[in-house]
Amino acid sequence: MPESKGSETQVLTRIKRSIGVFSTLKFVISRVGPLLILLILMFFFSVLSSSFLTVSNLLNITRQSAVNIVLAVGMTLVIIGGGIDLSVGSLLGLSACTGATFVMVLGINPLLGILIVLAIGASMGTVNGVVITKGHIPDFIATLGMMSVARGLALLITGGLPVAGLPSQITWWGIGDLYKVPVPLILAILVSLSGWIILSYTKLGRCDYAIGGNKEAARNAGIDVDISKIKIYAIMGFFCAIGGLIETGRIYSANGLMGEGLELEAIAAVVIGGTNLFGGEGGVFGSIIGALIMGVLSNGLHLLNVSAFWHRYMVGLIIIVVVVIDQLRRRKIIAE
Amino acid sequence: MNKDKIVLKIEKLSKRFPGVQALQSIDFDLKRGEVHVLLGENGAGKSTLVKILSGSLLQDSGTIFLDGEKVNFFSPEEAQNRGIAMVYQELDLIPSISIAENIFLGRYPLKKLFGIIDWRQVYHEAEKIFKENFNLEIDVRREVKRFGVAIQQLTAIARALSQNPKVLILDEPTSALSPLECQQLFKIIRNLKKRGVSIIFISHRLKETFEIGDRVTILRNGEKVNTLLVKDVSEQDLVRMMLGREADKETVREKTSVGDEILRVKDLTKEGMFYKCNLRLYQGEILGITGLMGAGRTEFAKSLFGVLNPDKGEVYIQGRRVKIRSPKDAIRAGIGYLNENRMEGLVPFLSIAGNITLASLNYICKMGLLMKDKEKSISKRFVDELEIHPPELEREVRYFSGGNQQKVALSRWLCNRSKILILDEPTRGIDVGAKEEVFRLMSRLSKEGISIIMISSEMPEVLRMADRILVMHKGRFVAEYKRGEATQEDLLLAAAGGEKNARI
Ligand SMILES: Nc1ncnc2c1ncn2[C@@H]1O[C@H](COP(=O)(O)OP(=O)(O)OP(=O)(O)O)[C@@H](O)[C@H]1O
Ligand SMILES: [Mg+2]
Repeated sequence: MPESKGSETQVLTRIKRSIGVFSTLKFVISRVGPLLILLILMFFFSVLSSSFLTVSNLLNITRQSAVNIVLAVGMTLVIIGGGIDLSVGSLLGLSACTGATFVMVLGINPLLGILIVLAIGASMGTVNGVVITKGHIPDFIATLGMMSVARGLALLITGGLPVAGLPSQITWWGIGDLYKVPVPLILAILVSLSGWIILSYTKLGRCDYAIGGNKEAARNAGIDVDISKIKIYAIMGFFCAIGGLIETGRIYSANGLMGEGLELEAIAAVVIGGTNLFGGEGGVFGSIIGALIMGVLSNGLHLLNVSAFWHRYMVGLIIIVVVVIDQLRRRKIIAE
Repeated sequence: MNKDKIVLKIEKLSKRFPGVQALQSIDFDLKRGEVHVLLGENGAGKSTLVKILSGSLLQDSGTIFLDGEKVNFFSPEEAQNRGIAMVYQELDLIPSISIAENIFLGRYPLKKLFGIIDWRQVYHEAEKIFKENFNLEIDVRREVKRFGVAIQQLTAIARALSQNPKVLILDEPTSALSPLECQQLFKIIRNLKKRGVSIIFISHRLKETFEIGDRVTILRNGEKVNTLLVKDVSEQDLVRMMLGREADKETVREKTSVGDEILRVKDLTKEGMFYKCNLRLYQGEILGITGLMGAGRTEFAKSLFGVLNPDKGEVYIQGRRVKIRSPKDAIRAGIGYLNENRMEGLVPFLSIAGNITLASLNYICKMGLLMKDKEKSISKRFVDELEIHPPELEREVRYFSGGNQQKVALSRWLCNRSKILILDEPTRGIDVGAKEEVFRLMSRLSKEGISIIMISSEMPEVLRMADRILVMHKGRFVAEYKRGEATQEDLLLAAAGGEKNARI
């Protein structure tokens, strides 16, 4: 064998070995990646701004991120089941507007109003699930339709005007404190916990993973795919309503355009968090981190007086980087 | 041409997966025009070895020589360009496109003018390949997913053949084929040999080693045990080397007393698949259904299980008429069905514990909550009994070898408390040792009063296990034998339609 060939293969072996090291590194990064990004961002901002790492600012971040966390947790359930929900922003708006209108215009008891908010969210979510499963319509299309329908309804109900002057029993959910802990933070924690319990410790969660991982196999194992999907979308809708409640409190009013664009933020949080967009694998924890990354970014940039436009730019960048890393890891696994 | 010329040589090849040493310093070589058989238990490392050769996995260390030249394949394309074609154990076909497109994927014949794909040519060539090689006329324009595993297997083989390889790697190509197609495949292999093509052949049917093998290499736990000339070894030698100990005695199925009728199928028909099928199944009975590829056995089973909806006919369970429209209905009525294709049953991202208990969620859940310890104890039992390797309950099923995945798929139904089990090719891809275990479990279940319909192309296994055997031919049951009444020849003859000059 000629000498040059030998050295060439030596080089190749070296390349191969470094690919090995690189892929382990990639593996590590993609596992703790989101958390790492979050910590780096926090370090970065606390160096640049003295007001970043203060209790009041951190609580502020949780207040700002609560809605996105709540929606991202729901979106995680949906995406793990192989679905997607584009209507979450609109459902948030619709449930909040309906509740606020009932309270302010019809003058019903605010606590009843809260129940109405929750009921609207859950039932519209159920409608999503039913249309998808019984109508045999792709998740993307059905929820795209719902996105527009719910937004239209919200605008119709409010007549395009904000419903303001809400009683404190309602705004408390967005701005109140319980033993000095912001209520939105408590809600976000409760929703996260229930999302985690559903995925790890319930039959529904197991069915969700199975459906997203291999729908045909799930059906062949006797799982009622339709019922499971409907339940998941109903839970998503319920979480949207909780988000609506928080948002209403935060801005002291409800309006028809509330929650616009939040569906994309939620999906972004889930993607950054490492849940497989095609379903079957992932978890709540990553999505929460994803939502916090976006919250920290917007808060930090705000403190540094950087234009809010940069925020969108940075979020986009992070999504792309995270997904590229994830794809590389996946390709490696599939190849094996 | 030098017959003894070494085409492919491997030195000190090692590969590690997280937690498993899949290959440990393997030496291996392949001569021109030889059939080299790779044997080993489930998880021994056979697939890993050939995947490295075909460029879909990278070794950790070790060298590969092709025609005396050191090579490194970073992708399957590179290996293909050097003349190595592979048929994977888990077929890598695209289900939603046609057979013909799958065969020529990425290498479509182009029209001279404009360089657009010449579809007439694609279909024509694909038809020709099937006709010439397998003596089959099928509609190559139909989507792959509409065919059974056997045709899918042949499609994958056809694709490899169409690459005109000089090294052909076949990873368990016969596990989905019935005797007739196997013979056809062996004919093709012999022809390729004559043309100087070298073949690596993996199978768990030891008899096939003697039928077409020249040399055989045995792997055990990622290490090479030996390479021998096939003519120098006996079947017992092979088993001993694979297991590292003497083989277990074949369990003989005790005569069980058969109870009352549990299932009756009357005139079940699905146009184009099966016609007027009648069947009775008794409590504690093992009923074998055998036949050739495309006879309609799987379609019949899927109709009983509610995956397909039959056009006509009635089904009675314990004398009561039942209407089954979905697998869920079937399971509720006490029927379980192991898919012929394990990938239609397994959820790759789910742990083996999750997969084993997937059809028993009602037993491991209380008020919608999973009882993890119950899940664990149920799945641990099967991991132990069927020796699923590695025995890690939380490991995702996609990281297991083919045979171990099959054991997981099978376990799901063995633990699901069905009264009637339909097992479609239950031993597909399972090694000799574990097969005995499967048979022991089946015997035990039947003794406990569970009735089993065993659909299998492995006629010796059907003859050994079944109390009664039905033979299906072109969608109809054409013969019925009691235990001990039939020989393999009888079954084959009936399966081929009873013609004296059956194509064997
Ligand atoms: N992608 C993977 N990730 C982790 N472990 C793997 C992976 N693929 C295979 N293994 C492990 O490597 C070992 C060898 O697997 P391999 O598929 O080569 O076995 P095999 O001899 O082909 O078995 P079978 O007869 O069941 O097909 C097994 O222990 C398996 O669990
Ligand atoms: Mg294998």
